[in-house]
Amino acid sequence: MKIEALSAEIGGQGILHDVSLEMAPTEWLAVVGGSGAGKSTLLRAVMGLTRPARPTSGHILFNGAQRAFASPAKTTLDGIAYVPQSPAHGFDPLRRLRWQWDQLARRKRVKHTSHQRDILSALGLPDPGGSYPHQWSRGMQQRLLLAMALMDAPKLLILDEPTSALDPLIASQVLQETRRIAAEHEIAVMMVTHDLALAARFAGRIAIMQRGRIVESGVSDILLSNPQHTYSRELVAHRCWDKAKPEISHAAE
Amino acid sequence: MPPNDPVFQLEGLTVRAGDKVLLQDVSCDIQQGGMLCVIGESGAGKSTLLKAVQGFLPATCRRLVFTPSGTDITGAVPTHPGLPQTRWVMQDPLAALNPRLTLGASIQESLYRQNLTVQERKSAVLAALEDVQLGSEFYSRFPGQVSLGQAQRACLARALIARPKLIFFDEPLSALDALVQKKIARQMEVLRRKTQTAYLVVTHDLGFAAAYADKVLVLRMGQVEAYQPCDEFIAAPASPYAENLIEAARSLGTLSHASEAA
Repeated sequence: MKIEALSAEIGGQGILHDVSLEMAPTEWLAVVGGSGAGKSTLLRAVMGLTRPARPTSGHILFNGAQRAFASPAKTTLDGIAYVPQSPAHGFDPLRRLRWQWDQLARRKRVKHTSHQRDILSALGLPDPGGSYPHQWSRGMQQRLLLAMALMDAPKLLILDEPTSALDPLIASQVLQETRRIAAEHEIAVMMVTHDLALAARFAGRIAIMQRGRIVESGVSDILLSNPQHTYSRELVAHRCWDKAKPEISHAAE
Repeated sequence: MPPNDPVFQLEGLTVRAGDKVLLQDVSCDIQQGGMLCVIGESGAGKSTLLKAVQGFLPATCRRLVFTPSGTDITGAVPTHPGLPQTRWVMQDPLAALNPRLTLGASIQESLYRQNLTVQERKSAVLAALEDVQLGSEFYSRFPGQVSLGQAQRACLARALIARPKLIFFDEPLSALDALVQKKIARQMEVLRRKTQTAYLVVTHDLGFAAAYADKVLVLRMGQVEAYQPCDEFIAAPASPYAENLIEAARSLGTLSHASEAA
């Protein structure tokens, strides 16, 4: 995938400015930035959505073909799959899980039921049957979302803030499953997060965004050991929880 | 270092809703200027614990002692009075602040019961804002005009200005960015040491707990899974569930520093 000089705006206010990114197949890329940095807008543009932010210039190449921007109903999701940040964002609470699964399978034109069953068992999930979302634990729901994303063997998997709405137990479970499956099926992963420590743990390459621009990007280890931009430096310095040094409390007194 | 007398002691707190037991026999205590982190997945009863202790929910306990106000309760926790000399900091600062009051006015409300002149009140608020590293220009700003992190700092100032002995934090950082989280956590720690206020923090961030808490209480489905000093908890968690939690936090990279030290 390649993003070239992408800009987007909401009601005349620029959200993305000249964002360019490249992703190799099977690469795990993390997009890191604070709230309002334009991470979600970028991710929505990759999925071809034009709301709320409308792309004004630049284009996205995926698998060598240019991607069109369209309304959600017309968007084709060929080769790109999306895992929302929590089951609350991903499931209709009033529909049975089986129904939601089948509907997606129809839309994605996936026919082989044996293949579908394989995905479920690979993630350690039973057949959804007649269950409603709330009858499953949140960990299972999130794994089912992952299974749904993997249904038609995508080339690119998008993870939206995989840890922010989940307990660490579930988040770690889901991410490790994702890593295993992505490696197995040669899927590229684009992860959006505000947590650099998480990005460093899972991603091979990191792009840091601030106010709609990519201020720095590079191989995780190199970026972490030698950040160039002031904002990246600050993020790197504060990536881990650190006990407040005694001298800080002295200074305050 | 905090002296060893507990400001807050809780023994055998149980909360029921109908036939369901929401919290079963929870005991904990907090030293003066100490910090207890309550950890658990959603639905584990973390917020229920806070609400029950404050008297927002019917609950029973063997004993609840809050030294500064002389509160000493046995049996049913009265649902009205709550605990005097305690304050709250909530998860979402924009929901906690009145959008139609300036930050200065919101913070002042903590002082209305003390007989201060307008001038005294204003200078107290400005000092409190300075404590959380907000300049005097924030006095007249509305919550909608500041960032989430700044709004949460204002909430912290509002809690601290009343000089409480204990502050309850309900997921104070989870609405914020990773970078802002760390800055505010540090600010909380600095002010805790300076004012010797005890903190009871509900969180699901183990990294935060490992860095700052004295003691950790792990809840799961209303049951206590572990109640240990923080270092001991990281090195030798008391239950398999707690061990899984620590393992998960390590695999997410949130616990790396503490684990390297251990």
